[in-house]
Amino acid sequence: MRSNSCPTEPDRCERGPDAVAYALDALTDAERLAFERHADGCSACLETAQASRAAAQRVRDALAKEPTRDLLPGILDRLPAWAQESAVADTTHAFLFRSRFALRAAALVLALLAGAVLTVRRPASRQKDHHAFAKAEPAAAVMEALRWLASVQGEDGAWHPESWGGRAEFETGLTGLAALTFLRHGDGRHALAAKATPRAAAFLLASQESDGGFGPTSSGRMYNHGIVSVALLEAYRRGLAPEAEPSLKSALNYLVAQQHDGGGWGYSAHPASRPNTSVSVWPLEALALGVGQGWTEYGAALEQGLHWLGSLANEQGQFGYWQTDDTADHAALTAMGAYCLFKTAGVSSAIPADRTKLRLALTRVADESAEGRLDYYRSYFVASAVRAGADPQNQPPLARLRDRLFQERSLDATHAGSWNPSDRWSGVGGRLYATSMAALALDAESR
Amino acid sequence: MPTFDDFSDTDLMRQVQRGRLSAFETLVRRHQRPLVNFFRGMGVYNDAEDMAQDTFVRLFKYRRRYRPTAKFSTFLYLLARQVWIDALRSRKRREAFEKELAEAKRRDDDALRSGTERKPDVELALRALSPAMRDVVLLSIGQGLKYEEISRVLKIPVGTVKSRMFQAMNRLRQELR
Repeated sequence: MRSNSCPTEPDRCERGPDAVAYALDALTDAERLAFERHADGCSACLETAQASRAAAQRVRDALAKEPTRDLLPGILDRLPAWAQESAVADTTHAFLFRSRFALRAAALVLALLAGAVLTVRRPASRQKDHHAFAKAEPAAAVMEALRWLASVQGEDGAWHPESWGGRAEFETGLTGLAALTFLRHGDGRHALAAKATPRAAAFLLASQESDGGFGPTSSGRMYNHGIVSVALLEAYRRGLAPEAEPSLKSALNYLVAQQHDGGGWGYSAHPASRPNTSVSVWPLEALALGVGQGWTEYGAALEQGLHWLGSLANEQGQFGYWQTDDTADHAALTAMGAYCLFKTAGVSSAIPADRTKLRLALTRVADESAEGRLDYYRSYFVASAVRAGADPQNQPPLARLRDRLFQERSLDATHAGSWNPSDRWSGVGGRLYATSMAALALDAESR
Repeated sequence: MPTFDDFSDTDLMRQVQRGRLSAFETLVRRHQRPLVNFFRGMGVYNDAEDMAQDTFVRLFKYRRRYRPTAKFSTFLYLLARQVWIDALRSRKRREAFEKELAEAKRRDDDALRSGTERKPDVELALRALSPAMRDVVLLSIGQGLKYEEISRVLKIPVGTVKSRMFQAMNRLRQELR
């Protein structure tokens, strides 16, 4: 529809304010459509919109200057003392765990939407694919995952998360996790591991900081460091990183230095960063691997850490996050705690928790984890804990968990063998995390 | 392996209301640059960063007043604008400040006329706007607020926002030619 009554002077059409709002994307859909119909015949408004857009961009560019200093320290200094005392770097987990209902609902909605989209777009391939996966052997699926991981390993030996939907600050941790996936399959005695892990180990060893730590000094460092330490110790144990001993001891010393007085680990050694189960399982496993190498100087730190971990188990054998009654996400936490305690039984003098209660709690957790939303991180610890606990009664829920994992494998030919980054942590770790964790879970379940 | 960086502003504010300082730190890091530029755009140069700090301290102080139904940036810039107004009032220098702006503008205009300036400058162009026009430009273009949100921050009707924006853009286009 054309308007013949529009003036030619840009600022003289009565729709000029709409032209500016249009340029700034400030109109509602209905207003926008109405304006576009008008502008189709109004050169004045078109010119106004075009010139406004250009001017706005210049203003935006001019207003993009960085401050001359980081404002945060000065702001924190001015907050009341109680606010400073409540500072905890590791509240993310607490929030996520406490908001589990909202997250589960969101995950369910996303899963339903994804399912609906896939069903609508590719019903036949989905059915066929799922049928194929249902028949697939976990070991074959793990090998496909390893092939995918091998295909995306960087020239420098690292896996680069930013290329796969993850965050660059976790490059070392995710490289460690991918390397661990190769090492845990078939005890690392296969050609893919022989090719991928020495390169990954070389990258990781070269990235170690002078304080012995791995990864950038962000709030995610203890995750990076813990996972890398475990991966390198596993590689060393298998003879795939023979030169690593000094670096590994330096890494273990760093863990000892970061251990809190109570025995656990937080996101940092700062007293305000409270120790929590999720971070602590990796340092504990690393220390246990070190002690397993005969490096008994780390035995005391391990014992102290295990006693701290054991103290987080309640009467039902469920583990807390910071303390016994903080069991909002008890399934994942219980799996982590049980895995750690069972796994270290061979190198620690005692399991500081009731083993029968742990097994019963783990049975409930395995059952729960096979249903509902998928969580790769939890799946890995559930499968690993069940394997470490060696309870035959937990095999049926594990089989259901395996089927659930298969359903999340990529249907896209370009990502064949990988897992879709679809759980609550995938925004951080991306496809590398999803694939490594799923493969590790399947591997633990199938061994 | 999550951090607060993945959270929306609204979710972060919920955490701040629960006393989580890490969430507040994430908000500061996320918004400090646009906030400082907001004050710079308002013509505050030497004190822009101090005023941004004041705004964040006020944000923490008034965190319980925030309702998740409102967009976080609306709440933040309500506070920022109040900080700006209070700063002018408390120093009893609103007039002096406006005078300073007017003088700066006159100097800039002189400079432009004498040809010593090589090209039109956005900061000069912003200074040429009236405070009322500058407000809407900075909130809309600088901070990406919708007209409705701006109307809430400035407590004026949406229609007024729209007409002020139109006038402001006409003026800016002339200044930036």
